[in-house]
Amino acid sequence: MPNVNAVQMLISRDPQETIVAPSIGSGIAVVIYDPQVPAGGILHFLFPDSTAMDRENAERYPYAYADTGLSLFLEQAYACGMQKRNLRIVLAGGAQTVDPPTFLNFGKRNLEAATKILNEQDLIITGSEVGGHATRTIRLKIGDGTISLDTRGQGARSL
Amino acid sequence: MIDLKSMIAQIDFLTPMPRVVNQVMELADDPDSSLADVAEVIQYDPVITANMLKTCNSAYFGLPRVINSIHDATMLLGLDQIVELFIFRCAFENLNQPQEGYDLKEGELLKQSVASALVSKSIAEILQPPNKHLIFTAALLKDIGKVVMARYVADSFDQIDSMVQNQRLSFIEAEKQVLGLDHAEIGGLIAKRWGFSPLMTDIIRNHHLIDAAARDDQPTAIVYMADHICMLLGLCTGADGMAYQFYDEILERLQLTEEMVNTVMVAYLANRPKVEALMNLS
Repeated sequence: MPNVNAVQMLISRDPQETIVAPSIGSGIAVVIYDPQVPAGGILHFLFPDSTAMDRENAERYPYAYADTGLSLFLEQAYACGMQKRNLRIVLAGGAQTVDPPTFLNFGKRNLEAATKILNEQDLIITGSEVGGHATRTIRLKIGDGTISLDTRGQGARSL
Repeated sequence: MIDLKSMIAQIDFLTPMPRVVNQVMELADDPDSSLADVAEVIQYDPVITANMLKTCNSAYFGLPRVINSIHDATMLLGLDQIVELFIFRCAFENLNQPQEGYDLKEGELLKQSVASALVSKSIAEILQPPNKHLIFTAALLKDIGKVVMARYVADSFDQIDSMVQNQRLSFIEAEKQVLGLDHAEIGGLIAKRWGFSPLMTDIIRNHHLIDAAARDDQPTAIVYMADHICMLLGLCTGADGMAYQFYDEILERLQLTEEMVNTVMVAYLANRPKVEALMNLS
């Protein structure tokens, strides 16, 4: 079962495969799936905007940021045969502390960034499980597109 | 309400820390001491020495020859790595156990603690405080209180969780209200029982900065910031998750910018394979 850790992404066309993104905190896991291929993938980014960060880090870890990460992720998804009109898109993560800070509130800002970028590209978010304080793990079965979410302290459920 | 005396008595069931810990910490942060001084103290503890040599000779370090003494190890690895390895081995037995109340499986609390220590080290590299080994050690041991609290939290989890969800309390505030003590306070009592320095004891007891006076203490603020960064990274994977308070003022007091925080987070991610390897060889 291949893992997608923070600042990584993975796309698969192997129907036997289940992709797992563990330990999603304030970052966001963007899950995409095209049932027609079938193929799918997960991107796990941590920060909303690469342009506000150190350039060397931004170039070294493009999947760390909503803007550069989503752009590359979608580019590779289309190259793998997935089509925009077929995509199911699910977001998970964006956890926050109690009384979130005005600064460093990555959970909220990451969610806003992902939503804005996907909207700009006319991509519809078909499901989400975001906010709160809990760490999450999300799984995508490439064979049938089943997405399951495990929230620490609350157990697992399908999305 | 829980019988606090019986809870505190559980401290005696922890694996005790080696007696040499305080000496090693003092020497490590003393600019006038040498590598040989540190090695000299460590080697008086045979269990820790044996465990450290085992780890030194593993593929993780990839050293060019077999190491048979702490003196040889210090020469090859240098002070920082020897002290970090020493503290890791000291904390291993207690932190590696599963902690049911916090929904942490075997090895998870240890891994979180190592991550927190490494992140605090990165922050210390930016801020250059005089006592970086003390900060590393306090970050590694800050959640030692969870080892005692876990079974009490398990018994009262629904009540604690309900307070977090419905009353907007942090997990640690809810712990205190339901159980009478929180994991940081128990951690402070453990540190005191183990004879740690007052500075170390205070950092562990105040690592969530509930006491506003502790926010002015730079080492405590660094350990707190490291904990928060681990939460942002999704590394604090227990049932308490991110249900803690973040105080904006800490960034200003430490003079940390968002870009610096980003650099620290990315530095941890670059070290992630090393952390995994360290966990696996244990």
